[in-house]
Amino acid sequence: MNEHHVKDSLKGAVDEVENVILNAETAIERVIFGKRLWMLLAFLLVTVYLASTAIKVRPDASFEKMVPVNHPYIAAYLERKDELTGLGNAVRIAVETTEGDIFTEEYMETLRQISDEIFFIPGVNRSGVKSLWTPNIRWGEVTEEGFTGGTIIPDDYNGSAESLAQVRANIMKSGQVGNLVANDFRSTIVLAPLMETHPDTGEPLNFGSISRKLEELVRDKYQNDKIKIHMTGFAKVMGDLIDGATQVVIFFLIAIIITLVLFYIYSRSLRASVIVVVCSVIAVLWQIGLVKVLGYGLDPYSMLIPFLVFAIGVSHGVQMINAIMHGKSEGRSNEGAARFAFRTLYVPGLTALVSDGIGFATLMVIQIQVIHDLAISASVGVMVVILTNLVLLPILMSYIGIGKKAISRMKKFENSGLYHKLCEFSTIYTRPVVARVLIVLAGVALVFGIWYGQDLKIGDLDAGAPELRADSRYNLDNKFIVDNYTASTDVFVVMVKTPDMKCVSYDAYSSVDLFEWVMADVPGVQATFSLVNASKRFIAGNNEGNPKWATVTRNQWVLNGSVSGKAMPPGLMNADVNLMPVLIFLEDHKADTLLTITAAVEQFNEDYDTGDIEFVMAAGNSGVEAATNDVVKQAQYKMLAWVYGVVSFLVLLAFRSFRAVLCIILPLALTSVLGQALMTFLDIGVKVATLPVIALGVGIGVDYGIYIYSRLESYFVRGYNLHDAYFQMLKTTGKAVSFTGLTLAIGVATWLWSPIKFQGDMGLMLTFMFVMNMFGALILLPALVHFLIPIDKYSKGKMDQDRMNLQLGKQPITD
Amino acid sequence: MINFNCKHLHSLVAVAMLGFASPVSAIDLLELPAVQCGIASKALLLDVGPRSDKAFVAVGQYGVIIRSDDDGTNWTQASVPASVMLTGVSFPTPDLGWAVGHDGLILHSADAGQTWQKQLDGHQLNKQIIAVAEITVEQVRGELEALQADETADEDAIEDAEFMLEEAEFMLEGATDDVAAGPVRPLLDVWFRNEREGFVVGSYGMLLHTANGGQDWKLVSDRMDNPEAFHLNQIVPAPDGNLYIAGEAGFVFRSTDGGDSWDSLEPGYHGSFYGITIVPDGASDYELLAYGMRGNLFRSTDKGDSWEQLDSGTRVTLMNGITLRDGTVFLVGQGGTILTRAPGQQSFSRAKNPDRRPILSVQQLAGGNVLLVGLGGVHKADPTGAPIINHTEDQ
Repeated sequence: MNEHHVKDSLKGAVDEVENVILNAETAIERVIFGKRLWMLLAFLLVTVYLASTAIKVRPDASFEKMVPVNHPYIAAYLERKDELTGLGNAVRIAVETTEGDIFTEEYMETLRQISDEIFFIPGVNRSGVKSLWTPNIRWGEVTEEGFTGGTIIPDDYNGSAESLAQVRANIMKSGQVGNLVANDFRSTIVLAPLMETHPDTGEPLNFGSISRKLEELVRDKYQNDKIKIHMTGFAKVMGDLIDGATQVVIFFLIAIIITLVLFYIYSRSLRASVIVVVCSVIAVLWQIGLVKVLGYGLDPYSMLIPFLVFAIGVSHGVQMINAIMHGKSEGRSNEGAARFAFRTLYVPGLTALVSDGIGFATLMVIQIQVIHDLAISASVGVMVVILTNLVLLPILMSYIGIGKKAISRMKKFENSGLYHKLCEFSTIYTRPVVARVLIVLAGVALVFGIWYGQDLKIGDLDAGAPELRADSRYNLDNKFIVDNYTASTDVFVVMVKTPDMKCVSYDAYSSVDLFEWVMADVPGVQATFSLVNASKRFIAGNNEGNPKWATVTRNQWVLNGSVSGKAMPPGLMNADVNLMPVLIFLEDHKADTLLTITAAVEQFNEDYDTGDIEFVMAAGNSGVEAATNDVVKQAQYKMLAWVYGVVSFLVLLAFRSFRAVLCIILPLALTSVLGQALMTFLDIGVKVATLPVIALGVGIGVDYGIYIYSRLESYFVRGYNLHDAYFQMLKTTGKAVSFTGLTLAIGVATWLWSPIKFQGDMGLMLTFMFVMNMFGALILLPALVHFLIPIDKYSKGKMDQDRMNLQLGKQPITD
Repeated sequence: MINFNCKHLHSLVAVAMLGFASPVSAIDLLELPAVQCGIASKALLLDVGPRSDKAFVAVGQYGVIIRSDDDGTNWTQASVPASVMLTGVSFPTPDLGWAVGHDGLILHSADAGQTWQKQLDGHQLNKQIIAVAEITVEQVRGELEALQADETADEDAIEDAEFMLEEAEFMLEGATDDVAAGPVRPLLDVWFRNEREGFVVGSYGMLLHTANGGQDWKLVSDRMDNPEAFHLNQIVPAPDGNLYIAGEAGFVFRSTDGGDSWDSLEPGYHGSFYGITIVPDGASDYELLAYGMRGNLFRSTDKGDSWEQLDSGTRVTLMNGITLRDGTVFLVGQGGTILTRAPGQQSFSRAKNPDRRPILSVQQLAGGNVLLVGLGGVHKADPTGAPIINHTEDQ
């Protein structure tokens, strides 16, 4: 009982601290309740200001915020980003005919109109637009006289059958089947590369507006029974993300309504229900407004935070209302009851919220901007809840009060045989045998969770744009293009750095050629493409199309000639001729595939001395994902260590007992482990979206433990045994805790219906964690207390606690 | 003719160029042993040759040599000391084989194609190229000087000789530039009569000969009249002992003395011929089919003396062909094209082949089906050209 000893020796100091707290509490209470009207006015002014700011917030999504910019892959890419124009950001619009094939006058005319329409969308790089109608797409043929060629649509095109036959013949000679023309000739693609900045404003391109323009000018205008439009590209993903995220507002309203209804059922007080919801909504407005004032935006990830803030607000509101009702039932005035509630909940509420906030702040260890933003939003959010639901709420309640009917209903319910029996039944968790069984079961669950969760994957596991659902329009469009064209949408780019002007040299060519061959053998690689690849084709073309010449050569003039042709796709090397991308097309973007690729590139660099020709990872959507996975994988355990470390420390600070820390933290740990097992079971990978979930789950889950343990402890000091303490706790706080779990779960469960997949995943995981944490705190915590906490020791401090008790509950209210 | 033009352009450009790639490169594909690769049988393969009834060897890009002993079902990659593209293979006996490729590389195997050694590379070849070019310049200059000394000589003859000298000097200059860049000239096909004597044909009119199993290779381009050094694409033996070479710019060369001397035939086309297929007719009689760019197809029934153009029914370049054991002619080319002509028939019909990848070489399997190699590696077709999906290949 070493700990005991320490505690005893510190007793004097502890008493002092307690006295300070009690005095401080009184001081704070005096400030808050002394000038209630002024406080209300201040709240009103701040709310008006922040709400007006919050309303102006628009969701955004930017590439650099969603990637780990400090990861070597991304850093290497960002450093040379401007020079790697060819990789970029293009939108593919497939125009499909549902009748016959593309060789009809009607189809060609529609395609021309769409091609023109896209050409004029601001932000589209006009010289790069490609379609059957653009002059940069040519057919070519080697004849005895040399190359001949021309545009796909002949100059004398008139829509006649002969013209269309000519178009068909030109397409066959253009090499575009599989690229711009579908393998089944039922659709063609208009490719629109996008610029970095808006040409008129000079500001970074707004993907949302580009995406909307494409919807309005292309899909809405041209899609009909005969023509189907399919669009893919990073800008479309971002646009759809922003659109989908906007729908989340509806979920928010639903969450508010459900909460309101449940709260009314719980409290039977309409006034209390409305006040709690209003305070929580004010918290949300403050949070969004403050985040905006601090210079952060609202992205599809941080959009989760208003839900959490609302739910946390409601859960603390529940405690507050609960306490007010008890105060009222003991015969206090409206203000007296509010003051009583404030005083009782001030410490545990503050502890819980501060540990929430600090728990969220640990997410800052992850070097990805959206997670940073999310951490800041969440921390700001819980700090705001301290003001709105620990301060504003009791002030408001001190004016409004709670109806007598509500109080009598509450008393009736609490004294009802059924509730009594339920509470009485629940106390079996404190019986030694049951406690032992519970601990064993929890241990088994823990071991099972760890074992099953070993297969937890990193990264995204589904095809298409992982941000969106598999059956989203974007992913269906993406599937259409993947199915009908010969290009993978998962591209891993290795950047080849050479000395200046040396991209087009035998050294670079031989190294890249070998590299592509080695990579082609790596499982998961479909194909590779590079300047060297294009050049080899051109060299063969220059030799009458004979594949026996399709190889690299030491002949510098042949190399120079091979890269200067009209047929050379742009963007395969930079202007300084010292950088060329090698595009590796992958079968999928599963984390294992990406790991195989990065390992193979590293192995290549180890196996072959390529001199001053460097192979540097990574760009392309798969390169970014590989880097993100790497960061997420490293951050996963680091973040867990931080969040548990910080939360444990705060709990230790609050209860000053390592045993208490164990009682509160162990159920959370079980939930975290089972959460990982659930993710494994549901094929949800650890990714940017799910990584914060554990921190959020632990941060909020600790609230239950703190409230319950503080309650139990308050009964222990009165000399109650565990059974009685637990029974009293259930009768007072237990109901509130259960309700809290419910409201939190509801707040995030609406996300399950989000069109954005990661929001759905986040919603699912958080719902699971909130519910599990609640049960953990209600069931497992008392069992742990049974084994870990020597309840007898509290009798020693009984006198002090009686004094405290007196001050807390029995002190006559002045005023 | 692109090449012809380029060759001239090349020398002009070379003068203006700041310099060629440094001779020492980090990765030299001629020196780098071929990577052992799981997808070797899916590499771009350029030639396939029989080793025995059921054994075949195919060569291709990145120094890939694969061999099958079970009639083309399973393939294993051989150990090859270079990673350059290989273009031709020939096995005069089941154990002894030769393969040729880019950078003037000639490889030899004495163990049925399992391991290969270098016999010649472009560095050695370059010395011979320069030497031959210099001898040619000397010869032509000598002839010109003789003509100039001869007062009775025709002025036209002198002008011709001056032009020849200019041309020869030009060739020497081109060769010198190429040598400065290193081994740049590819060899394109190989044929061995037996375990001692063989021929290799290549770019820029290269013809190499060995009489001792490749211990010595001699550049004998001057055995044929090819002053503009057109590429020689394929060498084919006929049952009567004649040899034929399909060349660039409509050239077909024939040797009736086992390769000592060559005369040029003129089928009447000025584009490239990529292949010649012999269609036996009796013991020593045969029909010659020469084909190449854009579906051009010519035949001769008098051993190349006279030719007529046939309608191939396609404008796609034809690359290779064989006569199957039943006499069916089987031609392949770009775009997955397969043309067949049944015995006794006059016209070719095009097989339906959904795979559009170029087919570059064919052999008939012991089982009767046809082995195709090209872009995407090894494929099979039945004698009518219909593709056969062999599942064991995809393992």
